[in-house]
Amino acid sequence: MGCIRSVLSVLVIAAVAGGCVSTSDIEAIQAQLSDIQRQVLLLQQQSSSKEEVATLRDEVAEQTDQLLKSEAEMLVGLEQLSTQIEQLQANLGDTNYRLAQLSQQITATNQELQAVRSALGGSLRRPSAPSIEPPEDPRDLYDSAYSDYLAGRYDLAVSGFRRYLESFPESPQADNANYWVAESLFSQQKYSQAIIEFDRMLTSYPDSEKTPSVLLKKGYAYLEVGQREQGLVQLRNVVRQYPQSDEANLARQRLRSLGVDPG
Amino acid sequence: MRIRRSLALALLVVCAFVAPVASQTGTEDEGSEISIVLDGTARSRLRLAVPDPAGLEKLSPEARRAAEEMVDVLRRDLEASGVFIVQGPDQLAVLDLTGDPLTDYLLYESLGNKLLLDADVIEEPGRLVLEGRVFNLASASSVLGKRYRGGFELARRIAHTFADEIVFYFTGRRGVSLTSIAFHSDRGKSGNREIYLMDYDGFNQRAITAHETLSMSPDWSPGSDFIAYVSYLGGAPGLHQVELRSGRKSAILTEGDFNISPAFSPDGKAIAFSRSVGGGNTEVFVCNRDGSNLRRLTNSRGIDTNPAWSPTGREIAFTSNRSGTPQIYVMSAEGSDLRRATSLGRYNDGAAWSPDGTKLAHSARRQDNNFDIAITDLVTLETRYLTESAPGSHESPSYSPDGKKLAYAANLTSRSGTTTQIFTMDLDGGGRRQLTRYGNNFAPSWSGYPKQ
Repeated sequence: MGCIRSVLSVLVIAAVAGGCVSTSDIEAIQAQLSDIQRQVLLLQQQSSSKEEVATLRDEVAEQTDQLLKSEAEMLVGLEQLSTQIEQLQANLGDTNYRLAQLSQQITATNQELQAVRSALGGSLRRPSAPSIEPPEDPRDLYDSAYSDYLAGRYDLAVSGFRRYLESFPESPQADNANYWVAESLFSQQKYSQAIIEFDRMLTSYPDSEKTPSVLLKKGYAYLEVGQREQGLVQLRNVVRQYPQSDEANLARQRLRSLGVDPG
Repeated sequence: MRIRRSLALALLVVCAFVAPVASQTGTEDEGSEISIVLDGTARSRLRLAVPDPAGLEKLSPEARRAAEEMVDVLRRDLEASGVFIVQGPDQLAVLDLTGDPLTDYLLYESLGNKLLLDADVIEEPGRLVLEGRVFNLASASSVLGKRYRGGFELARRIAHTFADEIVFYFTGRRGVSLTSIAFHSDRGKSGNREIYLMDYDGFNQRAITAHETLSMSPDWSPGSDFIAYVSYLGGAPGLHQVELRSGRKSAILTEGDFNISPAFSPDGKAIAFSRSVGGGNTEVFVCNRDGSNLRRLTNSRGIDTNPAWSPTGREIAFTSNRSGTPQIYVMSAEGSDLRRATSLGRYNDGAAWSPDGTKLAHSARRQDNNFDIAITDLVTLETRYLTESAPGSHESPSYSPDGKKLAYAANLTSRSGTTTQIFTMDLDGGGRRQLTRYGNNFAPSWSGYPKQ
């Protein structure tokens, strides 16, 4: 959270370094600052951690006071401008970039902010903050959702892969994307939802190479929610349909451990 | 918020004395371009002056030795963190310091420093008090202040604690100065291999087993309170564990021809390992902490070994020669959904997950049959080699808990012959530091963060 503070203080430093700035420049700074404050507030709203929100709010308030004070100093003289303003603008660009990085960091580190990306997509569309925008390239979209899965950000992985499936339903990777949606839900122990997604996979991509894994995981999910008979049916399906697969071996092992003849 | 985070170090009395940093920075910290280090790249390293503390000459010889070690460790920790470029007394000797703080700040700044770590050391009977303040030179304001008190023998620990506090203040990331590295070594008289521990900087090396047989492949439990390892105790290699606090050792799984390369699951409830199933075939298995509930995860005719659990606990990476050459694969923790991770080269082995779960560090054989340390990105499947320019062979990488460094074992040739030693390096292959010197040392395993 201290990062937000420092990002804002970079702004202030830049303003102080500039020394004397015209009114329109100040307005520009104010617009940028209030924009940044809006973004910070938005990030706060999406955080359910009250302590962090309170701290952030205090820091933003302090920074605002500080900026106002600096403005008063700036209004004293309106002469030497140009080079410092360029510097200021570069700093602002840098600030925006860092803010974008920051929002990604918050996304990455705070499990409770998992819904943030989809919300940011609409409200933070700024040309100067490209890394916050949802990636449109299919590869980027898929890769970032898969990164989210590997890093354990399952809500983000689910929304990323769903967006991929909506945008690129004909992609040869579509079955994998659907698989990772199901697997993310499974990882979150949302077994009933995972079963729905596994079923969707079996219907939509019957020839997917993931099918043995889907049948096995669907069986495991049924066992997890206590539907033993359904689970056994799925595990036997794996053994019958893909007897040579790794998944069939795992299914046989699980059936045996449940006291059932794997057949 | 940061400074109020308490350090529960039993033996140290810690108190913050320079105040509410959070509110101070709001009004007095205009000059601050600091704490913008988001990625730790060289571009954003901060220059920090760390002169010798005032009052050294007033200390007793014993206290002075401890104080000098403390400041020396502090400098090394801060430099090793990758966040700071530290200027010590050698670089600062050119300055004609006046004793007037504001004048001296300008002098420190003239050497490119943004920050000053001003330390005072006071001797109390049998112990030291370290008062350290970090100043932002541009604004002449104090940004962080800490006081530590402890016996002379705690000098290193106090320095590590303060260094981590400073790193945390400027990055929001916990420093790794208080972490440890486990490994196995043949340095003892008998030449047997025993399990050893050392601090992250190579100090304080000590054996934690004395089985007088072959013991190897240590792996930390998630809470850093147990180490699982392989030992030939009883004849065949089996899985054992030692509780570090008590030193108590117990067998996990010893039945069967052999059970090797244990890896704790991130929740600490299970252990993945490699087990012989006869006919020269080993497979990856999982069992509970107590050896119960044995499950087989892989089924191939070849060798499947060296499992490593992903930080989420949902994936397991391992080495298999099912394709004809040893390569690294990833499967789900249940054993399904196998994916090949490495494709370049004819020999990739010994995967270690990055703490963020998206990369694998591993060893990769190069043309001259030596091994490089490599990092393969699991999303793009691109592989980057870190030690290509270094002679000798490099193996067994293990990530630091902040994901910024790797420990590994490498050959070192000197006049007395070739030995294997443990090193650490940054992820770009730079900042190499040799940690061990005696005997041969293998299979480093970097601990997680100590409990707070």
